[in-house]
Amino acid sequence: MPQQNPTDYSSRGCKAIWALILALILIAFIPPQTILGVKLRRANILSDLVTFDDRTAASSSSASKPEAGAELFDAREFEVDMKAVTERIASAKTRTEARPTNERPELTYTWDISTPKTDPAPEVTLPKKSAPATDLKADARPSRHGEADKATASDDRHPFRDTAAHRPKTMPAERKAKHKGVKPLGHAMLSSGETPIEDYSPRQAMKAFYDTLLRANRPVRIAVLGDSFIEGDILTADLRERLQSVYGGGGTGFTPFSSPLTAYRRTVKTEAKGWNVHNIMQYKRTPAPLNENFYVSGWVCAPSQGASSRWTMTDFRPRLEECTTARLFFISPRTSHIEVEVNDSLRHVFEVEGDAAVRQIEIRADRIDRMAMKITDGEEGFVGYGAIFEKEGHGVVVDNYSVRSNNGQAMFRTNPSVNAQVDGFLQYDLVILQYGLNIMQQGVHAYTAYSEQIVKMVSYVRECFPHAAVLVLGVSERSVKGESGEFEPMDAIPHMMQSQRHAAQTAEAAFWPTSEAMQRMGGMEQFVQNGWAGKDYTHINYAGGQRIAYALFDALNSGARQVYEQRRIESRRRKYHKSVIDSLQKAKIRRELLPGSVSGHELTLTVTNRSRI
Amino acid sequence: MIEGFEAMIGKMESLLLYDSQSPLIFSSGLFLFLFAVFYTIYGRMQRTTMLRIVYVILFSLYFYYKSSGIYFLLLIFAATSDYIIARLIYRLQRPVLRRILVVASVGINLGMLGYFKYTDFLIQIANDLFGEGFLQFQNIFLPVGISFFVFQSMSYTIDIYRRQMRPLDNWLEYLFYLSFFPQLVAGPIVRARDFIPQIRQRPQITREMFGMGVFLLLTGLFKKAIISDYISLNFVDRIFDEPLLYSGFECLMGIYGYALQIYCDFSGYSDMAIGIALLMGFHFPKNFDAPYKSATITEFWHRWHISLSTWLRDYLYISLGGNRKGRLRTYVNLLLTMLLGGLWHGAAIRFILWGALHGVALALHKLWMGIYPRAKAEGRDMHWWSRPFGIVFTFHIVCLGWLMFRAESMQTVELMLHQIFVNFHPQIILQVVEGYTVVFSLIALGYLLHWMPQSADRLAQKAVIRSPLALQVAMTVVMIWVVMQTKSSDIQPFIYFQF
Repeated sequence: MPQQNPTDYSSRGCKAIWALILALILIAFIPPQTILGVKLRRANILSDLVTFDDRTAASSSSASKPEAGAELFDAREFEVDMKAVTERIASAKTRTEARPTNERPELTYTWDISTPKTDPAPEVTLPKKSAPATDLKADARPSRHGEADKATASDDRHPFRDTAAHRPKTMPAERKAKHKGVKPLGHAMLSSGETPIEDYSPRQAMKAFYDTLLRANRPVRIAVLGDSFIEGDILTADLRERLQSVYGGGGTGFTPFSSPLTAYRRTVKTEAKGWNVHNIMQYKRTPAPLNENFYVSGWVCAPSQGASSRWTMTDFRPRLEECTTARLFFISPRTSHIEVEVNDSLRHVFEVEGDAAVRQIEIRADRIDRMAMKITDGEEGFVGYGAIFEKEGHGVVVDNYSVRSNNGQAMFRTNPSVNAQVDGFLQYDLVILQYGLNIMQQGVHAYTAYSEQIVKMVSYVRECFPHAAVLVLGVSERSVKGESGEFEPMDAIPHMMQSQRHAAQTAEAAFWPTSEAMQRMGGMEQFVQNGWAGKDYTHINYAGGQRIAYALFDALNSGARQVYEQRRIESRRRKYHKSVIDSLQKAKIRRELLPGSVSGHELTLTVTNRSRI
Repeated sequence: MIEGFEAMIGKMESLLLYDSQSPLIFSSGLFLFLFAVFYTIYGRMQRTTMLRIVYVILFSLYFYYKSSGIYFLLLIFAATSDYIIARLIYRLQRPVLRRILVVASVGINLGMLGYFKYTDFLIQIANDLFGEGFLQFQNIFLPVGISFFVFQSMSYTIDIYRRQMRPLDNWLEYLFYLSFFPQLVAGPIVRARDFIPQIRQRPQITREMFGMGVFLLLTGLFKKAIISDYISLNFVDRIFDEPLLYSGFECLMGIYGYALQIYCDFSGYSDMAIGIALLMGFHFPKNFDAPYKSATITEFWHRWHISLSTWLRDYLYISLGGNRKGRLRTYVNLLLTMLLGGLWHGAAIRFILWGALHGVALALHKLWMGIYPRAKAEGRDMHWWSRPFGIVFTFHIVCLGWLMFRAESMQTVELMLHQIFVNFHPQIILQVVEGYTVVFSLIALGYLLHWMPQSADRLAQKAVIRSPLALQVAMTVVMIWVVMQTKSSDIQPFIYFQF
């Protein structure tokens, strides 16, 4: 044994290091605890080799709390009387209708500067040369709501009005692919596998929506109500892009007159001046009567004199610039003058007669690249909501109504009559509810009370948007730090998702499990690693939104495709039973209808998965 | 029981093997265990010089293998090539041949660096110029710390070419120098002439050295694993990711936070490296000297990453002609040195811009000093009243540089500045500070400790050095426990301030 040098510390240093390790190993046995309100985790130096199951203990203690979900929000604050909602919508309607026709306020002010179009009807008279979908459309039965009735009404005027000939002559690649029975382009590019939509509606509301999507000769409107997860048009930008690429349409959809977050949105550039903006989450601080007039957009904008907004379309995604129609929504209790300028060249001043009803200014042009509006007078009491930019005619319009920190219940603070009046102009076909992140908490597994609130949200939406199918999105992925400091999915996710699914079942709405779709793409850790989500392991960015949007689009598109296939087969069957066709044709149809054939397989799928479109 | 044991052995095996996702870093538990075992044996090798050298080399190569896999062979290659070249340079007398050899050494080193670090960057530039798809990206693996050991190796051959030192007679000693694990991954860039004389010396670890080593490990852990890691994950990263989601105040705080983060990250890791080297009986030069106390940009470069700035001065700036070829050439040399220094930090335009900013600032400061000879180059020569102005001004120039350094693109730089100058929203300052209490406390603490007078730092060093061994162990236990609590702490959720 060499003699220890008194000035040399290497030997003592060695002992010190082992003492340090021993102390750290002993510390690893101290269980997690909370001291003076500070949560202290187990400091396990051996976490790579030995793990302690602290989570089970922690979660069982939280789960044993009686109805932990009830504590997550103030139920009294978000009480909603559905009867009162119905009455409020009805009374506003009655008030307007009770007035003599000549005294009724003008609800829509239109400025049409588009070049008059020649009626494409002559093309329609040649249905045999048009796409195969013609048969389908002619055979289609009326759907649940307005669309089919409208189609029938228009059919009276023109027998081929609602036919495929009204669609673009050249089908987009996706639709061509669909006709061949293959998955549409883009399906497998970004998402692996498909996460189907679960339709719990006995009336098959989603099917009605798919019908409209396939057949409508007017804009098909989708409202996405959500929280900060989709703020800035995240996810909706790409859902819109996908839907428009297949089903037509253009424009960025809804954007408020002003909001502090407009700069973040890349799908439209907004410059606003002179607006006093209020957010529904600050409902209590919003002055009356503004606080009584919130729309589901979550923002009300009160103008000072000369308040203005200017929008410039962007090319952030395809078809955003293909905008031909703009609609401005507002309430003008006093006579006001609104100056509108299109493409920095054409200007028009609207004199809006004072009334308490929601009004819209509709501008039609061949193309709207830039649009500006200015309240020149009559700003007192004026409530501004925002503008919708869309493409005239058929196609899809997706409106992003996101409010940060919202768990969905803020909608009960909106004015149902305002919502219904706006819907009167637009007629939404689908309302998607994306909520849950602002309620979900690690360790909390009971969300029964919140689930009940979701059921109310669905009812509320149905009251305000009576023609729309409702799709509840399950909560998205979120990761938290585990005991060893590594990220892991929040343990509450399956519980929250189950309560959302349960709510959708109870409310007979459709459901799409967002977190499952995200898990298929690797989960939140993968999202962050790929740069698709922020470092809070909660919020996605445009890149992440694109991935989820593609998966959601696949689910919607697959639903629509099944409806399409089903109708095609029904049509073939009818043709088969016709006595006038020859045996050769009959044999051909019989082959097509065999279970092994693509279309037959599609039909089998539809029948066996009736509840899961 | 046996199954559990087997599973543990399996886990241990995978822990010890190369994993590109988990390089061996000083603040990890695995390093602590490996170092404990290494150190126990190392302490018994004081008298067996050659065995100790081989032992340290093997551990260093393993350390490198754990982070870069098979590329540890690259380290051996670099050591062999420069060892041979240096000996040849020393033996040859003809200047032309000596020059050819030194150029060959620099060429081999820069060739390796260029291939591994800059190939895809150059392909990107070519594709930008000649259209996408002009060249295919190579996706070359970047061996950890290549920028550091390549610079170290070059310093050796250049010093020998300049006849400032004798070459080593033993290849193993050169490999020891190049692969020495404390500074291998993130510096400091230790010069051959400072380090090589220490290799054969019997390691004498005095109480001061040991205490200082512990002090540096403690401060390094605090800076790297507490301040830097916490504020980057919980505040800074998210602001640089989406500046438009935040007010100008938050963006400004994001830049100040990043200035502290990068300093703590870099200097913290350097401190740990210097501390570990001290525990092994090796002295490394100081690498950071409270850089944000600088009152001029010239002073900043005397305090920031000193081993790099002196390397650049000695081997690049002076090689370019330094200030010996006229005033204009001096400015050009400064700018070139800083541009290349910027590029050394990473293969992206933003690093070059960062270098350019510093180059221009240094040149302007030199110009200013030429115009006003009374202007002082460093803060300690200034008046008590003008120094704070200098510090604040320099700090903001440096912050502008950090903004370019950190931002993914020039668009992010623009957006951050736009938010700061157009959407500052001072009304939410209190809300923000309340919402991010821990983050702001750590930022404040970090800057407070940074701006403390040097005497306070020395006092703390003395306190640790004089503490009994048991107290030093206790302090380290507490620090590691805090690090583990920080690492596993819940992430700060996004706070949306309603402005």
